[in-house]
Order: sequence, then C-alpha cells, then structure tokens
Amino acid sequence: MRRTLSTMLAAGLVLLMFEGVAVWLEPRLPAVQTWSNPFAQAKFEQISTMSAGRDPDLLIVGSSIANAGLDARELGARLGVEAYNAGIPSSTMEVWAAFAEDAVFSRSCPAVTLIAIGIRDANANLPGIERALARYQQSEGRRRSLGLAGGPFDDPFGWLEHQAGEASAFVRLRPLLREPGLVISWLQEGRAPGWSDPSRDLDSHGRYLRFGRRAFDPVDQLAEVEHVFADFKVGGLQEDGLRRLVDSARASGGAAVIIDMPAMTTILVDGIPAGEERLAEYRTWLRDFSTEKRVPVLDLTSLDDREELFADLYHLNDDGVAIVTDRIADWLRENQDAVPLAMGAKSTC
Amino acid sequence: MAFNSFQYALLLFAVVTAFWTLRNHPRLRLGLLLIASYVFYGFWDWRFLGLLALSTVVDFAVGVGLGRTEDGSRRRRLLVASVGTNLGILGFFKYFDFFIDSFAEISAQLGLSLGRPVLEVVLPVGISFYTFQTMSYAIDVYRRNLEPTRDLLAFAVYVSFFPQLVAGPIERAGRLLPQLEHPAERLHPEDVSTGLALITLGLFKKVAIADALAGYVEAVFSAPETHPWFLVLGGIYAFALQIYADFSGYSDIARGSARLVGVRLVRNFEQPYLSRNISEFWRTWHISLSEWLRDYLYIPLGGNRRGWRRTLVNLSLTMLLGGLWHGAAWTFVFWGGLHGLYLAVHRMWRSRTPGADPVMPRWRDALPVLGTFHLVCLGWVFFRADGFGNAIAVLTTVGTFNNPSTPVDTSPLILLAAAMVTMILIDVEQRRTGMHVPHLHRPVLRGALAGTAAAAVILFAGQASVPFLYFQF
Repeated sequence: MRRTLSTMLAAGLVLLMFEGVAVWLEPRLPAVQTWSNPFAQAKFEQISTMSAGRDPDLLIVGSSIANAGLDARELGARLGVEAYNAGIPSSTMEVWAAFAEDAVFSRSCPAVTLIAIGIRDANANLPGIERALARYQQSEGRRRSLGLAGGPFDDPFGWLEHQAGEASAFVRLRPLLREPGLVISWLQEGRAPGWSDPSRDLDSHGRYLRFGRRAFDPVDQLAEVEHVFADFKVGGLQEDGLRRLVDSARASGGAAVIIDMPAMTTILVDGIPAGEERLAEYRTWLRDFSTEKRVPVLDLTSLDDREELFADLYHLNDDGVAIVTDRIADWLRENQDAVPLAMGAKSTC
Repeated sequence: MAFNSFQYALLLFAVVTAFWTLRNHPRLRLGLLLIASYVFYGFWDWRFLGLLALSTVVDFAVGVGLGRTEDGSRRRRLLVASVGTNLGILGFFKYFDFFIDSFAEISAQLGLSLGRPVLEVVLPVGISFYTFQTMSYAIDVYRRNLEPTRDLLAFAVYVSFFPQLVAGPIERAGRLLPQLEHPAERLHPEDVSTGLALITLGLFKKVAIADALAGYVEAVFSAPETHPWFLVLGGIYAFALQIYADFSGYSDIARGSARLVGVRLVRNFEQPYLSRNISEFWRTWHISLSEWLRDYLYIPLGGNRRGWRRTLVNLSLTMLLGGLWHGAAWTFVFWGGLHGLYLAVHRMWRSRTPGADPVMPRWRDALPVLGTFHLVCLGWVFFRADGFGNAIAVLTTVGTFNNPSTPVDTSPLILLAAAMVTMILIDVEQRRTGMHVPHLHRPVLRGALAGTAAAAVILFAGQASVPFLYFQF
C-alpha cells in the first residue's frame, strides 16, 4: 500500500512539474492556433472583449490589404464614430463575409461596411479557394467560440479534450510543446518558422502595424506576383463571397461601400503576370458588380504606382495609410445621402 | 476501429465486463468474443466480413475432412483447397492490380500495347494476417501436428480474435485454440495488471513515439532533396523508430487486450534493435511472421539440409516472398531480397562463428549492434519510400552530404533524440529483466516513469490520428 502511494505521489509530482512549466511558458508563447486563420482568431478575441459601447459603427473588411492599409482608429476619430478593421489576411471573400457575420453582424449592426478590394483579392482561381470557407467554418476554435462544437454526448472525446484544456495549461499548450525547437526559438528570438502572434501586432482597432515604415522593394515581390496571377479569373467564389458580404451588411441595417484599393500596377505589368488585360478585366468586373448591386465604389486607384506610399506591391505603408484615410473620410462626408455615417449615424440593431 | 480510439476503449471495456460476467457460460463467452471481433472488423468495412467467414468455413471444413481420412491423395487435395482459397483471396485482393500493372509495364517496354483491366481492388485490412493464420491451421492438421477442432465457434474466434485480427501476432492454432476452447474461469490479478501495463506501454509507444515522429518522417521522405543530409539521415532513424514503436506498440496493446480476457498471445518483438547480427534481428523482429515463414516456407523448401548453396537460395526466396507479403510493390520485394542477402552473407560467416540467442549486449558489442541497426535502416529506406526513385533520392541526399548549410528547425531532431533515448531505456530494461513491461522496483522511480509516460501520451494524443502502419499489410 505504501509503495503504491509512493508511486502515485511520484507520478503526480512529475505531472505537476510539467503543468508548472506550461503555466510559466503560456504567457511567453503565441496563442495556440485553433482557427483556420490566426488573424480571425486574434480579431474575434479582440472584438469579443470590447466593451458594449464600442460596437463598430463603421466596419472595415477585406484581406491583408485592408488589414494593414486602413486605419480604423483614425477614421473613427475623424468621423466621431466607433470603427473596427476586421480585415483577414490570406483569406477569400467568402471568408471575409463569414467572419464579418460571426464576429460583428451577429451581435451589432454597423451603419457602414467598407469592403476594401485590390486586384490581388479578386482572383477566383486561387489554389485551394474551394476549401477555404469550409476550413474556416469547421475550425475547432471557431466552432467552440460560437458554441457550435459538440457537447458531452455528441462528441464526448472532443468535449473531454476541451474541458481538460480549460483546466490545464499543459493540455492547452500541447500543439506548441510538440515543437520544442520552435519553443526555444520563440523564447530566444521572439519568432519561429510557421508561428505567429497577430495579437502583438494589432492596434486596439484591429489594424496590423507591421508594414509601418517598410520601404518598397520590387525584387522581393515578383515570386509572389507570379503565384497570385498564374491563373487569374475574376468572379466565381470570390464574387459569391462579395455578394454575401453586401447582403449581410444591408441585412443588418447598414450600407455597404466598396473601396477599390491602390496597388503598384506598373510593377505588376512589367512583371508580366498581371498585365493590362487583367487589370481591365478586374475593373470591368468591379464596375458591373457595383452597378448590379447598387453599391457605391470609392476609387482610390489614382494612388496606383506611387512607390513612396507602398511597403510592397499591394500593402500601404504609414504614408499610404494616412493619404487613404484622408480620402475615405472626405468621401464619406461628401456622400451623406448614400452613406449616412458622416451625419452621425450609429450602430443600431 | 483502431486501438488508439475512444471506440476501442469502450468496446474493450464492454467485452471484458461481459466476458467475466458470463464465466459460467463458456459458449456464450465464445459467442461474445466472435460478435465483438466481427464488430471490431466491421468498423472498417463490413463488406469484408464475408471474406473472413469464408476463410473460417473453408479451413474448418478442411480440418474436419483431414481428420476423417487417411488417404494421402485426398488429404493433399484438401490441403490444396485450403491453401488455394487463402492464397486466392490474398492474391486477388492484395496482388491483382500489382501484377496486372507490372505485366502491362513490361509489355509496354517490349513494345506491346496490351489492355490493362482496371479493377482498383480495395485491400481488406489485416487480410495477410488472418489468411496466414488459417493456412497454418490447415497445414498443421495436414502434417498431423495438430488434432482438428470440431468446434466451429471456437475456430471462428481463433480466426477473428479481435486483439490480433488486423496486425497479428500471427497465432498458431495449437497455442490459441486450447485457450479459447477452455477459457480461464477466473480473472487473475496478474492478468489485469500485466494487461493494463501492456496496453499503457503500447499506447505510449504508438502515440508518444510513433505518431510524434510521423510528421518528421513524412516531411523527409516526401521531399528528400530539399532537406540537409543530416536531417534526412535523422528521418531514416526516425522511421526505424516509428515502425518499431508503432508495430510493437500495436502488439503490446493486442497482448494486453487478450490478457484481460485470460488469453496469452505470443510475443512478437524481443528488442530487435539490440541485435548483434541480422539473424538475431530476425529472431526478435515480428517473431510470429519470421517463425511462420521458417516453418511453412523455409523448411519445406529444404531449409539448411541440402548444402550451403541451396540454403542461401532458400533464405533468399523466403525473404523475397516475406517482402512481397508486406506489400504489393517492388520496393517491398527489394527490401525482402536485401534482407535475404544479409542473411545469406551472415549464414556463410556464421558457419565459422556459432550463433547465439538474444542476450544483453555488452559494450564490446556496440559496433555489431550499430552495424546491424544501420543495415536494417538501409532496408527501411526502400520499405518506406514511394518508389525506387524516392529511395535513391533519400540515399543520395545522405550519401553526398547534400545541403549541409540549409537552415533547419531543430524540433524533429530533439524529438528523435528523446524518442531514441526512451526506446533504448525501455528495450534495455526489458532485455535486462526479461519482463514484458519495464519493471522497476523503486516506487519513486516507477512513479516518475509513469508520470513522464502519462505526460508524453497527453502531449501527443489528440493529433490527427495516424493509422497503425501494419494495417496496410
């Protein structure tokens, strides 16, 4: 009996030691990624913890172009409203729409939704695009956050695992602890291949700050351009997502506005993959869509190709963000009939 | 249904509880084991339960027939019926596409354009194991080494007994049938403790070692050219550990599960990577298959009784077929042939040095142990690779010290080192004590080991499930 007790005590102490190490590590490591997209996870968490009075009157959606290129805090301050940037990098328009519904439209009703689009976002032939929405919707973190995950009777194993994760840092951190080399790298250098912690790089209104003052360097970008434009076609699932986004914004009682974001189009053209033909195809598609859905378009492509405004081919640096913010604020003030925000309209459901 | 699944835990608990509740009803107990075994197998694909039943009925009938006749030619015909049925099932489901593809490729190279029938035959899980098991019964009865059973229910459980149905050990009827026909009347505490310890050890090997290394192995073998040579070499070692931990872990869970219903299955592994030569390796690796091949193939071919040349031919042939048993691909045949060559060379060498049973290696054995391990690893490259091109790419990357300065993530190497140390500790302890599971006398040390094992299982459980490697064979 005494031997059994000693054995159990020793085993318990070893487990406690592992738990202690995990508790110490948890604040020093990035959050375990449970959503298909780490930005969606970080922004959902940010929106969920906002006080009720901060429900966005002005919502920004889009990809990394919106995520880094639109300053919701400054825009809100200028217009006297609450604004939030819900841009999700590396995602499709279907995912933008789904995330906006999950994180914002389900709980508040923004007066205006700004949909920021660049040519890079419009490609309906992106590899894996057909699985993007399903991956987003089925991710464990999203299902848990929205209360969609199975309970103790539907999915006993998953439920038990989740409960254990709630109780133990060691269980919670397992996906990270399985990569001890990356843990060491993160602790020593604050980064590790494949790991990210977007919450460190977002301001309080969802804008990604890392592009900041980065200088434009075209050479680094050409491989990326070829990847995106290798098989370019507008419409398809991207258009479905855009349509769903506009409908959702209107269904929640607000107005939708498309912002045609600037890009370094001459580089795209010189780099061959985009080409004038594709630019024309993209612009025709956007015009036709806005006409059909009666969505106003704020065209910022007059800022195309101004190197000093860009961190790379698509993403604006701080100077670019400042100019774009001015343009959008001015446009919203000048278009009060179509977009009531400048008149002080607030989020109401 | 996999051993490392929640469903299996529920099934095992229900079966063990019902089995000991029915201790006064031996027929019901057998019925329970049969139903549990068919449910277990049907979880993968219920359509193949018919094959299992066919193999059972044919070999049972052959056994009864052999018991009723002394006529030599009639006995031979009955044996042919058994072997023909089992090899026919195996040949069609496992090798049909392989031989048709190979034939078509050879024809194409000869300039003949022959049509290729596309059947895309689905491989039933565990078919290689249960067909070999039933064949061994018929052959043993034919050789009069075994009295045929007249109990169809017990025989059906012998063929389908769920702990060892899909990945062995390949049991001989002479060992397993009597345990099923006369099951234990009470559950011994030692059976419970050993059974649970074996299941825990097996789960630990599967989840914390084999599955933990699976991602590293896959990354290295899917694109060897893009990795630095030392990472690829580590990937080969990682696969050696993965397949050992995976398969021996499965065998441990199988033996532990059987023990909980009072059945003792044979040991399938005896610390093979501590072997000092390749013969010792094959006496300690997948023992039930090695013994099957020895008793039903190598010895009937003449074994070592017809001179050394014929012995070498017999060894090579046995290992080639052993390779083909593992999978319908030429890389498996090559792997078997390579081991046949190793064994033949060792046989010639051994004629001058006496063989020895597995013992705890000493420091002076370090070189032979490491040498044997590396010869085995060379074989594993072909065993794991998608084809010869892939295997050559792996070996070329290592052999030419390719990409030495590519920056690497050190995580896999840390995992590999931890897995290697853990498996060495487990094997050395088992070899030292001769126990089925590591047996430590000091409670604190035992507790610390149990705690570490539990932490490792917690750490690696819940990843995307990796199927047991030997299911595909």
